[in-house]
Amino acid sequence: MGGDWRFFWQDNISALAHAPSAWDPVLNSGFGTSGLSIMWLDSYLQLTASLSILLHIPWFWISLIFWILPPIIIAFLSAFFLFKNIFPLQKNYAFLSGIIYASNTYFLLVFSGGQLGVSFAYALIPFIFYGFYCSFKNLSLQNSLICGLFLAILMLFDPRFVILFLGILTLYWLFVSFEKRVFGRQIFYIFIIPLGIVFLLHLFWILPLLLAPKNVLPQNFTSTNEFIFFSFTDFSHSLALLHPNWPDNMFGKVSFMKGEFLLLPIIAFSSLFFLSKKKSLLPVSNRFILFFVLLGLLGSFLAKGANEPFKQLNIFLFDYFPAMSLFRDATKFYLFVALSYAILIPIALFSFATILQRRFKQFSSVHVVISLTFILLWFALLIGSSQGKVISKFYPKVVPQEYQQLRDTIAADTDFARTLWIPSVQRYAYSSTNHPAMGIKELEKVVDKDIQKKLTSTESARIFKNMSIRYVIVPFDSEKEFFTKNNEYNTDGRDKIVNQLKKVSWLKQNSNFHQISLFTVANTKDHFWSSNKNAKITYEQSSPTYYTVSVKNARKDDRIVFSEQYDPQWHFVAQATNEKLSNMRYEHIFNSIVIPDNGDYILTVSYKTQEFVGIGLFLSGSSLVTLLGALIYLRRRR
Amino acid sequence: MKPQDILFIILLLVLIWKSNPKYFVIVALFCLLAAIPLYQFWVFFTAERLVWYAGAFLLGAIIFSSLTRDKKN
Repeated sequence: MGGDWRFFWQDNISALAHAPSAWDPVLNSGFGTSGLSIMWLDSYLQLTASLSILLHIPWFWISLIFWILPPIIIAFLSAFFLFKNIFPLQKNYAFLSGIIYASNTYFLLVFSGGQLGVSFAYALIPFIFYGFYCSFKNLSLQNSLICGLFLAILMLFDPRFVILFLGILTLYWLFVSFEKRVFGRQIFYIFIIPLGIVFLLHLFWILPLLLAPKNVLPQNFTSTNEFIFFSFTDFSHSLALLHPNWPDNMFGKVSFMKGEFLLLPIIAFSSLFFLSKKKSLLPVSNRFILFFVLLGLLGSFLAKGANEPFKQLNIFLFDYFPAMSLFRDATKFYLFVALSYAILIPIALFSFATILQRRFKQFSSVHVVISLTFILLWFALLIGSSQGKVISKFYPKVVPQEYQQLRDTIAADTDFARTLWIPSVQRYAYSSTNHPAMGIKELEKVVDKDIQKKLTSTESARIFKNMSIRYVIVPFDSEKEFFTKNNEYNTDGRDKIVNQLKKVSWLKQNSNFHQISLFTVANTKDHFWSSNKNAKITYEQSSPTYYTVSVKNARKDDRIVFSEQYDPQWHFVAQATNEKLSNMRYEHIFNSIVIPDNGDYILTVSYKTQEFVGIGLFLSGSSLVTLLGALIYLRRRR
Repeated sequence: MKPQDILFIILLLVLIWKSNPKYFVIVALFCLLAAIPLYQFWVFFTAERLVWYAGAFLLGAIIFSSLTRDKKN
């Protein structure tokens, strides 16, 4: 699987198999960064990595069972289950609902693009909607607790989908289920209790974020210009449930609108003809159908982003409506359209088939014929327009032999040494606790945005050595992801980088590699190092947020440098005296302390925010146990 | 303003006067159906406009359906 889904060597997995960590030294950074920004998703990755290590199951199988297969299976079953339970007499059409929800162009592109967190979140929505649908019908503590639990699971995969779901829920409540006489009870059971459950179960990352605030969103994430830039969809595409990047899934490559996909909204919105006057074909109210029509229309409008018609309204909502600024990529609103059509299309087909059956009583299998015809149409639309491009992303691939050789070379180096990848970390890159991998863009952000142009200078050599960057790698672009020109593979860019690096005197090219260009830097520093060459430093890492460091023969005013990105939450304590040594920023990027006196020291180096994670984990764990106990008790009492 | 926009506004006003949600749906679906061959023949501007009109008519259908049901209730 390609796209955003990363490839991990089995050795990499041990670096991920730990409890949620407030500091991320290796997964999303090569120089270390706060781990709070996506701790909600990383925690599931860490859990599954731990399963791989504890149960001795290869990561390949763990990723298949816990990451790759579940979203597509759950997406189908979720919609199937929702339709089947709301329309129990139309079970055949529940199958169509599952197909529509699990195989539309939006979901297929997100899934094949490796965005498995988003895929998981998308897949769960119909289940959760059904939970709240039942809760509206029967306001009870048990239903609220179950809804809260599922909402918390949704939060684990993507908090933005929780916000999207709350939008769907609020619209449903106001349009379909609002009752003045039980207004207070609805607010309490539908919103307050479930959201309270979500808050408690996610305290492990919410608490540290509240107590040690960090800017978790990338710079300019919520800027209007970014929103306008990312608005690739137009209203026609969104109404037709056709992802604008279908089928190539290349950033910025928008396909022409395919008119035949407009058959989908035609079928979906024809359900409006079957709103009942007297004798209803369906066991739901007209408002229920109208809700899904409104949902589809609203989703189409919001998914188009800053494009006509009324683009100023979209921009206004992005700038001023609460939480809308999290959706600079407006295609997330395709969820509304997919959920809408997964309900409306089967309803329309069922209603049409029922009327036909009543008129032409001799055609007993009209439901089967209508269903099969739609399935043929659906797959004709998908297969005809995909040109085999989507399915090709699932073909098994063999890791190129040189990447296996590179892994062996780096893994054999027992010293702490970083790898720097230009232009970016390749998906088969090896990284571990001892060998974090970073791309040149991360280095430019941390050190100097022009550092790639200044590589020949001795200053650059000094920075590389101090940052423990021992390997500089220009990847072999086996997946054709980096070196492209006008969306076509082009090696000119690669050749230019390699030629530039060959001119750098302090980089030595390794001749054992031919497709990958590997350069080494001599005399790089360790993870902890000192300006005093006589000082002997050894250290042991207990976790990503805790080190024990032994410093022998230290002199007063010696500087001990910790080669991770500077963060004031890194605390240094001398164990013997329990004295806290002030962490000072060194050369703008490192953590460091100054030795107060001559002698030997045992230092505890810890990331303080992890304490809040620990407290949060305890509270989340206790909440989960209490919640499960309450559910068992309520079920037994019933 | 294009001629098709003027036609759209006239049609919208007539449908609002009629206040029958089914007519809104019929016109909306007709717009979508008409847009399909236009997209096939790369007449993008008019095709896109037809889809916008369909969206507006569908919104009208929702509003009038809701008002009609509310009155009956």
